[in-house]
Amino acid sequence: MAYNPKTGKGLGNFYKADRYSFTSREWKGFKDTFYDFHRWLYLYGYMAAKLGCHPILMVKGMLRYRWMVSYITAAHMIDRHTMGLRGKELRYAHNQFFSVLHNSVMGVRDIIVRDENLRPHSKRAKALRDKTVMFDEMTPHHVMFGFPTLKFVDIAMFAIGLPSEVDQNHTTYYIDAIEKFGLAPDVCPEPASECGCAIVDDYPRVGKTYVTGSMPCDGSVEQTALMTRHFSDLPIYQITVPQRINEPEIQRYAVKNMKKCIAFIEEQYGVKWDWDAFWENAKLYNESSDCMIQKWEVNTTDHPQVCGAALALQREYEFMASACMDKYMIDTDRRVTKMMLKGYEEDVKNNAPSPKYRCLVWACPAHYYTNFTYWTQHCWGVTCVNDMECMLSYLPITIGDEEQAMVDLCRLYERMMMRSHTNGGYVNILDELWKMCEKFNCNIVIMYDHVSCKNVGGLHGLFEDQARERGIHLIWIPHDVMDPRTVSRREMREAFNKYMTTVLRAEPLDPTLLDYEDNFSW
Amino acid sequence: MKKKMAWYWIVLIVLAALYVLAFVAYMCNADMKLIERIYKALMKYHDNRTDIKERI
Amino acid sequence: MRELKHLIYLENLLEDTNNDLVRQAQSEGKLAIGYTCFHAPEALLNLGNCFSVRLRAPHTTSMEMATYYLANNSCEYARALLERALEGGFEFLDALAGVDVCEANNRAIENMEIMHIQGKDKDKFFYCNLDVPYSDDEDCVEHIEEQITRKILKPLHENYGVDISDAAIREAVKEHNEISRILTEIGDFRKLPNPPITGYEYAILVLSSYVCPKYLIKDILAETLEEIKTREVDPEPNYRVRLGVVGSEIDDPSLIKLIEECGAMVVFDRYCYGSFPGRQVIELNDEESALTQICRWNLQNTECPRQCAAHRVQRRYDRVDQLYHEFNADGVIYEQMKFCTYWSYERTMASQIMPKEHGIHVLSIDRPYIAGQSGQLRTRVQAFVESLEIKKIRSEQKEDK
Repeated sequence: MAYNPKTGKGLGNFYKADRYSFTSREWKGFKDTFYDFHRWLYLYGYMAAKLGCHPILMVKGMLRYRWMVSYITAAHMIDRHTMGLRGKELRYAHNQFFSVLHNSVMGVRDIIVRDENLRPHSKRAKALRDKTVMFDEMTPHHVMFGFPTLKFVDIAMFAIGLPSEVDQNHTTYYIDAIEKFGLAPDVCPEPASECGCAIVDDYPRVGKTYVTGSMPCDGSVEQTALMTRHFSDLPIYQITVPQRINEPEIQRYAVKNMKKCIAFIEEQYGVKWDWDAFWENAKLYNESSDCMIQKWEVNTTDHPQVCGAALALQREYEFMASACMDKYMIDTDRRVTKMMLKGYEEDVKNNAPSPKYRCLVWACPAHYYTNFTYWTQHCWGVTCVNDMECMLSYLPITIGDEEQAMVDLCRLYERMMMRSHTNGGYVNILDELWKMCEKFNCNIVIMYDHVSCKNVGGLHGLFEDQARERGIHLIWIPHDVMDPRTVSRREMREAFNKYMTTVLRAEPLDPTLLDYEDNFSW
Repeated sequence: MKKKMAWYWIVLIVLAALYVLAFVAYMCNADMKLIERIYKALMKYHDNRTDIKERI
Repeated sequence: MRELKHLIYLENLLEDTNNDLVRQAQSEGKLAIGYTCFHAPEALLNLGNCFSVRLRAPHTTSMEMATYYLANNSCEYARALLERALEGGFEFLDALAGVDVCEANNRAIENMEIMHIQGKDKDKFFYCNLDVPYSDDEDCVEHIEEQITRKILKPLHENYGVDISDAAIREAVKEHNEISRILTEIGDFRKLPNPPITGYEYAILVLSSYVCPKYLIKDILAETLEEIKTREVDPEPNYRVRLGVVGSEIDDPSLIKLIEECGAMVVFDRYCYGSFPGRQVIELNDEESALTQICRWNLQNTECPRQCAAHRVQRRYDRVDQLYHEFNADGVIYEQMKFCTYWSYERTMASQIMPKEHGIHVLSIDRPYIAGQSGQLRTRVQAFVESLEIKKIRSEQKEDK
């Protein structure tokens, strides 16, 4: 445990009100500190190797794009997630987070070498762009399974999604940009900031076409309308996935829509859909899903292993950013699964203590506070054993059957991040929660109350009523997904503290974490 | 006359010194403190930019 | 102008969802099918002995219960409907044809469904949630046709024995077209420099046609048309500027009244519960099934910003431009129901694009569900009217010079 009762020092002391960074790094004991130090060295070494060979482009990128500046704080992101962790939990987290950063570094490199804004006259950049498909953030990229000769770059993910999780104040500029034009501040800040980024022309131009979609919510649909206008000089395809995803009848339309997307890419790039490549990539996807399911299975026991953000964020990025095609991420899956199974066996053998409290995380999380569940763990001993955001599509793609595989591919799109539970009717989010509470043996749910989300908000009362009937503690944590000015991290913690002290009458494990100022902190 | 130190010892000492320095920088969070300065400067630069045309 | 003969009667009908005509129709053995959105094709809810009632919650004040079940940032229309449902205001319904088109509306109806608010004593009652596609191509038509067949027509037939044959559908469309022809003819009077009908009066007529059984309202509308044809107008038009209203749901005509009290004449109504879209004739051919044609018509004529395909977005701007010129408007009010995500974006974009690319002056507002008494709105509309008036005077002066 990070808190020292003798000195009264704990994790909260690493924050300073006027600082973006921590005052210093935590001493985790000899072994863990040096493990952490070597991971730190490795991270910088990797970044230097991959991005250091493009110093001019990197500088140009940071001067051209405001969002790119946030990426320089990547090491802090790792720190705030690994702070307080020890032993195998520290190792799981490092492996999981590094795979996300590994993918992101490659993504940033792909952007700077292709970008028309940075390299308007480069023939090499043009040639790369001619083989690249630009994607919208809330559009899974698994359709690229069958196009091995093409590259894809998720421009909104790299400009908005990922930096907003690295740097909490990253999106406020973009939100203000669109609100200046009259957009109501009650809409979700995620599509709003994506639109703001378009308004100030801060998207890189790294491909020949743009593929977007109508997912996952009303805001995203409208973001699509605005982004389509922003990229009106490019050929665009909109994937329009059906809403009522539990009905088998909708798949007919979904498959037709997906086939049209494939035809669009074939036509624009003069390539043919390659089934062999598709099967190979589908196998990778299936394997990554299997690893995820194994992690869930272990977390249903008394000795959960890969918990909190390490579980959720890695899966989100593996699924959404890399489309399960990043071999490094799959290797990480294999490695962490192996470590996890070994860790679990050790815990069982040693009769290791179970978490003080087990909880599930439900509804859309705050991008600006991805380490919230680590905070609950360190401050109150509330361990998050699963998170709705990583419970996205895990159903396998049928290998060898082309027609069925198309249906499976569509099903995967229908159950992507932020969509698998919030679309398709209340059963997917309301009834599903109670099932998951039973499966993961949890009677505490951290219920993210995204104040701009009208979708989950639309079941607020029924969640309350049904939780009361079942004796489940729903701890509503307000947040505004990408705008920390509406509900700050501190206010999120306050909401949790209040519940723990007044309802559960719990004592904090680390009192220094109860209240501290981190409005500036990345 | 003093015996000249073998080159590999020099390399080793330099590497060890770098390692220690890196560890001190790591513990003090010097990397992030430096990045904080760069970050602030870049944000200031972006705040003062006049070439951004906002349009729908 | 002399007051329209049936205006007060129609205003009274709009005081309650379960109004006199609805009760009369139900006492005659008809089935009341509730719906909220244009995407549930109205004509198909009027098959056989069914009649459609587009749901409203007039005179809503407190929405506390609905705010508990939904959220305080949910669209006020959705909240008002849920509140009214919780109060028992929709218990008269025999079915509710919902659509999964926007989050707030969908959740409001899901809340009704989970809590069994309607249909407690009606074992044949059914809810549905149509999956409406985001564009209008033939795949979309096929998709929505399957949805409607499975979720509306089949239960209507199986639960209530309603005739859902092609002939029955054509019959329903015929009735729909009769109403539409009358209202289009009345609406066209608004194109005149000195129209014999006000925007408010027209809003009452259109709204009545959405919330009352068609067969009971038809004669009243036809009679009103005849009355308007010979209605004596004031020597000078009593408006200062001509405006179009574009946006999300308006089921409260007092908002139109408020706008007209500020010196404007509302010449076209391009909003949900208005006549564009919804009160146009559906032309059917004999080659294709009526159902397919209705589905296609609905997808091609919806003005909902949810349709995000580029050609659909452009079509909405062009449509407003077309109506603006057709009805000789001086400006357009883009309005949105507070907390409506779709229209918040559409309004933001249109308020930039319409002036720049179409030369149309726009007032952009968001408003509460019950907005007829809003002092703030009145001030904004007054200022807009004055600015348009000044622009008109200046351009006239320029022409004179």
